[in-house]
Amino acid sequence: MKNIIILTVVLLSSLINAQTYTTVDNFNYPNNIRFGEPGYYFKDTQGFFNSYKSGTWVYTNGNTTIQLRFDVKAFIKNNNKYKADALIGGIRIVKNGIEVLNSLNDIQQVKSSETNYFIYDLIRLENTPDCYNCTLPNQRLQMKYKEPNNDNDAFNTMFFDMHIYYNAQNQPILRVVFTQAALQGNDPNYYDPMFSNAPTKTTLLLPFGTYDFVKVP
Amino acid sequence: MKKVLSLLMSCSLLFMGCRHDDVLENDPNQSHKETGLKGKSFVLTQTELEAKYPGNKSLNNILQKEFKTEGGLIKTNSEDEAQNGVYIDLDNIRVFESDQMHAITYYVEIGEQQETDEPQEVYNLMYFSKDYENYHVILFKYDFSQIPFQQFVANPESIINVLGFVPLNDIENIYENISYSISHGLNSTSAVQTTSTSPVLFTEFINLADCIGEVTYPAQPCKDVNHHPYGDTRCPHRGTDMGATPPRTYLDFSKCGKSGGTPGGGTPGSGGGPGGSPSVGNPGGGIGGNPGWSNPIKFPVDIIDIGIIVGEINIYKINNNHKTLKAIRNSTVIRADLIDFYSKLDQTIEHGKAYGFKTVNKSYLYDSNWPLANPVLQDGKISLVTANAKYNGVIHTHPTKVGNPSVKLAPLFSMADLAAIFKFANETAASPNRKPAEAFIGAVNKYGLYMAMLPNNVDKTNMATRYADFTKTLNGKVVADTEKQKWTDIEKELSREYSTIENSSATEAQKKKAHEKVLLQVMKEYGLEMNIYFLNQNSGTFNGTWQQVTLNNSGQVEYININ
Repeated sequence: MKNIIILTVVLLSSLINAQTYTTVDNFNYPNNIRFGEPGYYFKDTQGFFNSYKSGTWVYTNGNTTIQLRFDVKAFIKNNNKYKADALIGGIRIVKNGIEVLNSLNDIQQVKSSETNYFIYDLIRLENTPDCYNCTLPNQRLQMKYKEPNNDNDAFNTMFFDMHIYYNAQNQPILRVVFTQAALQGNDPNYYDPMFSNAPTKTTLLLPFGTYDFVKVP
Repeated sequence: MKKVLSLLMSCSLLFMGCRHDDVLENDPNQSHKETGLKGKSFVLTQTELEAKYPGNKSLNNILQKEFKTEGGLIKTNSEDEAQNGVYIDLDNIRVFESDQMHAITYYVEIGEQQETDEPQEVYNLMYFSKDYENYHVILFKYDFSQIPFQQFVANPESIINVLGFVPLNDIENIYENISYSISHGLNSTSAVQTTSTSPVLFTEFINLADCIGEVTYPAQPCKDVNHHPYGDTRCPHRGTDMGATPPRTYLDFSKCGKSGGTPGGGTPGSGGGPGGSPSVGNPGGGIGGNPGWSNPIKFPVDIIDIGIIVGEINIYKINNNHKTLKAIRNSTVIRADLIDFYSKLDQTIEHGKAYGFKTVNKSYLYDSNWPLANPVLQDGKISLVTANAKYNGVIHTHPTKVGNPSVKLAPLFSMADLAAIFKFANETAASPNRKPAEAFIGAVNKYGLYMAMLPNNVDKTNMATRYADFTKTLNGKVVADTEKQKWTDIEKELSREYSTIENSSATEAQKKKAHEKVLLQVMKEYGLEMNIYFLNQNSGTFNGTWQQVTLNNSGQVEYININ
């Protein structure tokens, strides 16, 4: 009987707290609502994120190896007002046989918002002439990027652009473009002592550059 | 056990049923009495006041003599540099008009009154006339040490417990006169006690309660979504028909009979007290030859002799947003920069300058600027926080496209833009008197100039608390913490929507409004209190009028002109 009571209480409380959301596509939602509109679930109904999330993406150049891994998670946002799918990611960098950065396991953690992960999707970008082998409209994703334990305010608003294209062997290639534009005008060597502490780091572990990653299972 | 389950179900249903509150609002006009003095009340600037009564020689005589410089310019004295320690707000003058009474009420600040959300005492200078010809002048003092201001606004019948007046020595040279009266009058043994322990004007009238006719009209809240009460600077409609109005009290002494007169005072700067019925002409003052001026009010009996009086408190505080916007619009240097910025919107890099202001010759004016550099190899964006905090803020361009290859850039504020404002909102050694609402971030885009500013009622004592979800305190300064959840969520929502709008097939006019709406909605959703202003580019001249961009009760964008 005790179990029945507990079950009833649990069911009732979940009923009370249950919030229903109207599902719309994460990117192609109707014009009359905005992203973040209360009462909606911005779901990846078209599976746009799916091609990124399976497997591990690997880039190798000389003694440097970089791995990227992604996952898709749904988050309840802004005090239960809306729900949204997000692509989150982790990165591992090995230089000269030494692992200098590893946030791959971060994506397995449960966090309250995608913005608490080190890599997450921000927007889809329109295709510009530098969109390499782009065949679909708005093919690229702009991803927010930050590195663990880096306290430099200049690195707070960084991003990289990425998309998947197919090479001559019809293999999927993940192209990541990470340029100094990511700094958005911020100088890592600048800080105002009145308004911030001196950063302990002024450089990044992921160098600026264009990377082609191949997928490994 | 069935009973237990039923009970649980009932409780839960009860709980669910209570999630929606049925609130009945009181009708604000419920206690309104249809007797008394009927008229209209509105707010004008000094210029508008002059223009409204061009044929009123008596009033114009006062306005010219008291509120204009020798050069004929309006004394645009600022709060920071008051004359003789007396500041009179000439931008927000409350005017009451009726057949029987004309009352013009100025907000007066004396010395360094402490800025608080709830005023402790308020001085109002009122010129009033029964016939639009003979004007009396009185310096009211409202004392809210016993009855808090908002309690008074809610219950204006308590006016007899808060209202007093400071006897003025003379009529002319009103700034010096107020200063002298305050410094001497408070300690005098005048017939009217106006000290903080005995501030009540109408103490002497209590005995006349049977003959005084008193009608009180309640205050009306702001006609915005939140119905801010009178005195709350968050009302976006101040000074307009949509703005909150103060309570008004009308006292009629006509049934109390004439007084027997009072002794003349002989105070410095005056020609003596009223010495009898002072309602017409200039019998006892020291300023012969000024038609339309009557004696200052020195004694309660003076008011009784006049017969009627209207009390309509004016607590209009300096709006530091408007003060700064006005200084920007009036600066030829900044306007030239705006024109230059606008001409560079087709470049794929941002341009920007930090601007500082200072009080010069009683006016808040542009002082200096500092160009922001474009870091090399960074595709054209500039960092706003590299400007020194001595400046009030930064105005920068949002070109149509930025970077190489160029990509569309949203015309309105990004999260980083909005966050940058906090740096300039702090007091520092180089900006010792900075008010948070003087700080700004501006964006020049294809539509004009947008400004983001902290609301006027944010001050150094409440800034950290009010923006706790967006800032941290470091070295005693309130600084934006862009790693906080709300900032990152705002960044994503704004980025998504700006991008969608810019890539849509909507017209430019539709896009403009859509951008504004998204910005205001997202700020509202996350409780980020900032005011957004807009100055149309007007064919690249930027010579128009500031507008506050806000959401109305229906959630639609509306524009309120700023004087």
